[in-house]
Amino acid sequence: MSLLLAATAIGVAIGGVVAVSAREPRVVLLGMTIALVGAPFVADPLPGPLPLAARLVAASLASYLLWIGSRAEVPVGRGSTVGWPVEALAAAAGFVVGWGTIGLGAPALGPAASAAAGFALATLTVLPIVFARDLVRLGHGLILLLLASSLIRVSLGGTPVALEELVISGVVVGISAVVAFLAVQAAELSASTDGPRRRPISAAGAGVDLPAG
Amino acid sequence: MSVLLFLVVSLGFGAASLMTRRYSASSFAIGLVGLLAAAAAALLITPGDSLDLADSTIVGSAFQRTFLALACTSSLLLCLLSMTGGWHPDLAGASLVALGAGGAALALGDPVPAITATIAAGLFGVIVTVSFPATTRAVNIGGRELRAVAIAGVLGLLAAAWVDRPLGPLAAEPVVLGLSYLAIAMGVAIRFGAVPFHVWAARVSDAAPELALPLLMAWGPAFFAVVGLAWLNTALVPLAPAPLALPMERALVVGVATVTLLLGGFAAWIQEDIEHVVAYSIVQDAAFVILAFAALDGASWAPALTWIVVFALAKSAFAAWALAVRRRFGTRRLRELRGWARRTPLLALALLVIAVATIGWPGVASYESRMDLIRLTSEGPFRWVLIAGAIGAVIYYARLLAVGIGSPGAAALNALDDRPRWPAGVEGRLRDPSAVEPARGPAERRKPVRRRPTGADAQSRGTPASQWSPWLDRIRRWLEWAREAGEPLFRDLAVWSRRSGVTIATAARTLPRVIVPAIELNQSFIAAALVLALSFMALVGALGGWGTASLSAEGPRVSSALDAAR
Repeated sequence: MSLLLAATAIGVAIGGVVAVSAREPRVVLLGMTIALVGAPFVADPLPGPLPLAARLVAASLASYLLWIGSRAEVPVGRGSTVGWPVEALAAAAGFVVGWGTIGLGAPALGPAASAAAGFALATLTVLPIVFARDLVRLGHGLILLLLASSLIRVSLGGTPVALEELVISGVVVGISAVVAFLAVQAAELSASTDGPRRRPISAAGAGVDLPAG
Repeated sequence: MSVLLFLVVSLGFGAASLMTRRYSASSFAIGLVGLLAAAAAALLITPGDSLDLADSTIVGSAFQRTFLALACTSSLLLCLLSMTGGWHPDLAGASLVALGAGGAALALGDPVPAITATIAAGLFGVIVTVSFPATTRAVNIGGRELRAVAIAGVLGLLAAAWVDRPLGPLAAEPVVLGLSYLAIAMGVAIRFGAVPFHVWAARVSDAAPELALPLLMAWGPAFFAVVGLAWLNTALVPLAPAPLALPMERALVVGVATVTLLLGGFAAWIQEDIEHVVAYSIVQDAAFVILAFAALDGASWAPALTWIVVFALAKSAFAAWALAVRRRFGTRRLRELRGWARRTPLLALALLVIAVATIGWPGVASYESRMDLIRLTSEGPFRWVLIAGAIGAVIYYARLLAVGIGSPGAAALNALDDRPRWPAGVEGRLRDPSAVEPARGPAERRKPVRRRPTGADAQSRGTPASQWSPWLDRIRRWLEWAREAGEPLFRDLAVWSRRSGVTIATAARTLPRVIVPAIELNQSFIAAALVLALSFMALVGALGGWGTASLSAEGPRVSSALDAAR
């Protein structure tokens, strides 16, 4: 069980790395979805069927909302300014620190894997939250920060009760909706201060060149 | 169960309003109805009424009932005010969702989900900041606001998660308690935009409409502050006896509150834009909420709750005043508003009431609650600095009034005054009632009176006479007399009822043609009346009304869950 938990925690951290370092919106969304779906499973014991279902539905809905926000004419940001290897190393460092400081000085009621995943995600969110001027990237950073805090809370206090899981689900959906709203507004206004570089139009779209003459 | 009703109403109507935001009029109407229903549902909350829900319990409380009812009513008045100008279609829906999430936070027994719910309460304000009309600047400011809400919430969440468990020997570690204490206090400071975390709040005051400021900077953060203070008083205060009273951490929090109090007041004083004055005055008054955290004493609970209620109401009224002034005079620049108070005594009275409610005087709840917080957190000459800061708010109110009673400028001369006006056609009719034609109809025509049959007539038709005939004849005569006597009365009644019906029908046909132009013509007057209503709501709270005096008797909700956990 602990191996499975550790693998899930690593998966969540990898999802976070992908989300903060990729440039292509679809890849970012894939990373976010992995982190959102995997986070509720990093608990021992697992939440009950109803709260787990609520978290999964919330993760799906949040991913869909983020997809809405990233699908049309979204300015492509720069992704990570330090590159994915640095992000991955930082996440790995956070993972190790979290695993090693389980309980933060007192006996922990939850698994070390959730602390590790939480610290890894929290480390990854520093750059997007502090330095990002791209609203979508900032929003993804804030969602990951919320996930990180919920994972650290699981490691400290154990598996949350059902109502807490429902509240977390609601907040995840809410913050995703607001991020999607901001992303749509930013797309309409080309508000990205990272440089409004539009996604290149694919050959299947309108950008088909006419033959000369 | 009563709490669940409020949550269903507020969140349901709020979600419906936001989901139909493409149809702005319908969305706004749903929001208005929702606010009215939510205010009614809040009044139905029964203190102590609990409901087991998803392995946990939600409980109603007197503070929750008072706070939510006032918040819903205040939001409803603000939304009605927005119909006279400063229209914002998302305001009602966003307010409902925020108040619903805040209501859930106040009802939850466990601090971690309660703090999580306060994050949701702050999230939807971003929509109001950004939209209608969305600009690049507004979108970027919405991002800043979202960052402040999320980081503040996460700080509180981590602080509660760290301490809200069996700590063992760690409970005696000042570092643990100090970090948790600082996390929750700084989280509250960030949410209120206290100095030095005020940059996002200053930007929001630029981008958001005036009427959104109370939701973004007062009501939303107030939920977080109440939950955080309840958690602090029940989780940290018992763990921090005298030797571990966290002197450095408390000094830091007192410092933040003091700087916010002084600089917030100064900033409000020097601003030229009245919306900025409102924003900085909110920041300044929020300093007392931060002082409540600095006290690290259960005695701060009652004055903090009282002040939070007065603060949120007064700032709602102040924001409404700013909108009404801008709409009336077409400018927010103070130098262009010379003589505004001469033009609109109602708004001048409203500002005076707001100032009195905010500052108060000795013996009044708003004043005493602030002085209690100052006494709990300071001593010696430093206390006088805080008292001066508390009373110093009078400076910017006095400046606004002084500008208002000065010689009128162009904006004041061109603005409408407070007198109600009638549409042109109606005014003539009101001055000359004889011009109204009396209703005439078939009911007024006299009908021929039929002659009543007599006993002789009955005889002539061949009716056989009997021993009962004299009695029957007598009864018939009585009936005939009654009919003859009553006929004029019934006829008059019929005529009167018909005339009334015609009048009502005419009025029903005419009223929309009169009322709608009358409302359009008197928008300024209606706005001033709404602002005055809001300011009097604040004054009642400041005088100890709305049950704020009895709120202290009820302990914070999270205490029972924490006690049970230990």
